Amino acid sequence: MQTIYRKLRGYNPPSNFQPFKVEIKLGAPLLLANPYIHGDSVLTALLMKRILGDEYYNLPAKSPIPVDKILRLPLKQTKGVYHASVSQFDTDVIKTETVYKRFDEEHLDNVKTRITKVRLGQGFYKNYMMKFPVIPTRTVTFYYNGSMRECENILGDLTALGKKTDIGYGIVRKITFEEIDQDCSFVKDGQCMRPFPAKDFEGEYGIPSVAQRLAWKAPYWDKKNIAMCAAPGAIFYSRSL
Amino acid sequence: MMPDEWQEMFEYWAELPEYAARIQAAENNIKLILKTEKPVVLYSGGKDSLVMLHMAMIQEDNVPVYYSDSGYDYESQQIKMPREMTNEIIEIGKEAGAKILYSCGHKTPNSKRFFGNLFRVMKKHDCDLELLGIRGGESTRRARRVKGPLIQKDGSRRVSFPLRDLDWRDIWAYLITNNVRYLSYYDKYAAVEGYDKVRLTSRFSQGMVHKGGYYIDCVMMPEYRNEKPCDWKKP
Repeated sequence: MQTIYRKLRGYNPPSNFQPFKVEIKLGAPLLLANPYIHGDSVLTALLMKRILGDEYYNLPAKSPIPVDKILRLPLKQTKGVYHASVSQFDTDVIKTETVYKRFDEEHLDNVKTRITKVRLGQGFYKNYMMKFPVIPTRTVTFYYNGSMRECENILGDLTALGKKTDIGYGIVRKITFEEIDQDCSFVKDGQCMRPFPAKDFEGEYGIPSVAQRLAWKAPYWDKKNIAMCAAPGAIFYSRSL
Repeated sequence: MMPDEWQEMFEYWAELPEYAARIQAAENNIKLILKTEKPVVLYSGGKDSLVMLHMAMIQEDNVPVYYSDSGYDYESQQIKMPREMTNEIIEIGKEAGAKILYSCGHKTPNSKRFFGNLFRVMKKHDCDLELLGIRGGESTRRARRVKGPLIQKDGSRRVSFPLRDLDWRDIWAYLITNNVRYLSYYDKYAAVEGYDKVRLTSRFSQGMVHKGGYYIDCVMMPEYRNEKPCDWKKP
């Protein structure tokens, strides 16, 4: 564990920040278990994979590593929140798709093993059927404020987005980077672009029209990171109103 | 709002003689039960139980109606029925004609109180039969369950499934043609799943992953994903 901490701490990101936009063209629809993908979580995952190598797949899940404290992303931070928007899709349509996993019996004779029985009702080879929401988007857009060159380098490893990427969903075709004048990672055209603690940013942006209990830093699946946040898509009102 | 093409389809469906015959049979079942037994209507807020409630209330509106919401699951720390949905379900039940509507669970969220509260309601009103809006067409398991006489024994309980022969199209056609208000959730989710597949179950249910329960809820109602009972007290 110490090696992991040392490796992650050893990463020194550049500190020349600028706002930029990342447009990811997809070759297949996106399967999601969330209404959006967090821009900084994509960078965190890719960076950790790059730094840790195979160790990335053997990290403790029950007591997650405090990634936010030991790994610094090449992004600007304000009050502990990274300047990275959530994914913006080019469609509002949501459909469903059923994914089946079945044990492949057809080619069993090619496998040389001493195992005589495979359990299909539980364990690694368990058969399952799962229904997922599908977002048939062609492009996924993220807004960042950070080191564009470094992010370009990290996002170069990105092959797919979303769930069930091993069977082709959310496959990435092309990634384009574009410098922009305004920082749209927190708020764009008066709309909230990522979850952040509503109270901490009340002075800067005002009161959000929608506040929800959401995770505001990586890992986003960890319930410890949940706070009352301004929800993506919310509009801000000033206190005088 | 239901899209026009679906509405039109259900209106056409309601003109079929088979539809009329099945609805007549369901109404006759309820009539017979109300004549001979003292039932309690189990209402979940779903489309099937709503049709059953509406049919029963047209004939006799003094029948007690029991609703229990799943509230909050402390084990998985997950909300199972948002408060707004519970309020809407109760409102719809009253609009459908329920005069004696018992709603249990939403004030003290605990899914395990279902039978305790039900038996208390039944004792109070001297009821000896539960009316359930289960249809045989929902699954093979349910088809097996509803098979047999109109009034069945389920352990120590006496249950009846008066809508057992209805199709999902019959249910929607009944709601549309009788102008019965149904849960807005259906229209929202039917846009994703279709009116044939959409069903009301506990929200964020890990046990319903194969039907998309958990993942679809996470995308469709993220506002309730991390909601806690302490949030319910807030205005």
